[in-house]
Amino acid sequence: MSTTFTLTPAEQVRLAALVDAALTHVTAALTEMFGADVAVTAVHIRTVPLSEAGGLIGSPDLEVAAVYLGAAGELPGHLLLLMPLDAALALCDVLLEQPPGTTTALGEMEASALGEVGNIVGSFFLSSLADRSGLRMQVTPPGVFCDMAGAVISLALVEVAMYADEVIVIDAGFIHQGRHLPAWFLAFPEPSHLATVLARGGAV
Amino acid sequence: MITSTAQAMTVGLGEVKAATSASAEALLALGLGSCVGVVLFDPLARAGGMAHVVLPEPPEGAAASPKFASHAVPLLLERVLALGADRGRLVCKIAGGAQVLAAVAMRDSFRIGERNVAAVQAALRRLGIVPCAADCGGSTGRSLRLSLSDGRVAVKRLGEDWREL
Repeated sequence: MSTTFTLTPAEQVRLAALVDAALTHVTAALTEMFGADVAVTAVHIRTVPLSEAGGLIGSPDLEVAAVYLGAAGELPGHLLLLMPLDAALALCDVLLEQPPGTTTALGEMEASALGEVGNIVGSFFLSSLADRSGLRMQVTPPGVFCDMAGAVISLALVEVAMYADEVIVIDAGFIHQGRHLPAWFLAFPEPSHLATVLARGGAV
Repeated sequence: MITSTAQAMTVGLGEVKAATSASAEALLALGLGSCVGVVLFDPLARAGGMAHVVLPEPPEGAAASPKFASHAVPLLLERVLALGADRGRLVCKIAGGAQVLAAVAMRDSFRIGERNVAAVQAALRRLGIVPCAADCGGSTGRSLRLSLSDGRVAVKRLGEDWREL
């Protein structure tokens, strides 16, 4: 059984077009949520060896706040919105309209606020993919937690790693009111399903 | 106490690496969650190795790979012995296999952390190796470091300092 996945140039173009359109929807939704310009930047679609996946956003032992959403349906996969913990605390102050420095820990209310951001990013991303590709896709409710980045990413990759030694990663960063937001949106489609979908030409 | 990760050889997801004190200061696995780090070390030869196990065993049809405990542990032993380690002097320690909070959100019904620990222990048993120390389970990630000059093994849990295992 093959343990590597290579997208053809045509498949890469199809996937890039889908992702670009999906992230445009995400940008519009976040701009409405924050009441200010939010841009999604630096979109990369790449294949990464499993051995390097833990370091996708920096050191694998970086403490992060993570929002996880599972994608189910015809293109199953895993979505993560990751932020260094201090950036997540600062974002909570923005979301909860509090003075900077107010949030010092992720309680129920803070987790709920972050979960809503993750939910918007994941839901709009998947609904755009579904609309443009004709695929049936559903998203699970968001889960919010703090841990080491490597611990979170490796768990999201368990199902993919079962059959693959490489992972296909879609990652994006964010700019809020002209300032870089230290946050990463990672999508790990299950490679065999992605290859099937792109090969049949349904995803354009 | 160990605080530096400088000059350490990083062991990534699904990798097995071995070295002597002449070639590296330490072996390091960062951000172990449900994964398990396995350490073998010969204090006389100052040769050691580390495996970063991701999954317990390959599903039917999957190729053998060091990401699986059943393949990683024998490969780790083979690589450490190839560096001149003596099987009778080997010290073994393991860490990881947490049921991290993320697993709850991800509806991890497979309890992958526990299964990884059990698979590593079974693979070690088949080779007649008994770990002398373990730091497994819990609900958060941890990092694992083997110092190749003296064989000290240290673990750092999320939000804590390094402590010797």
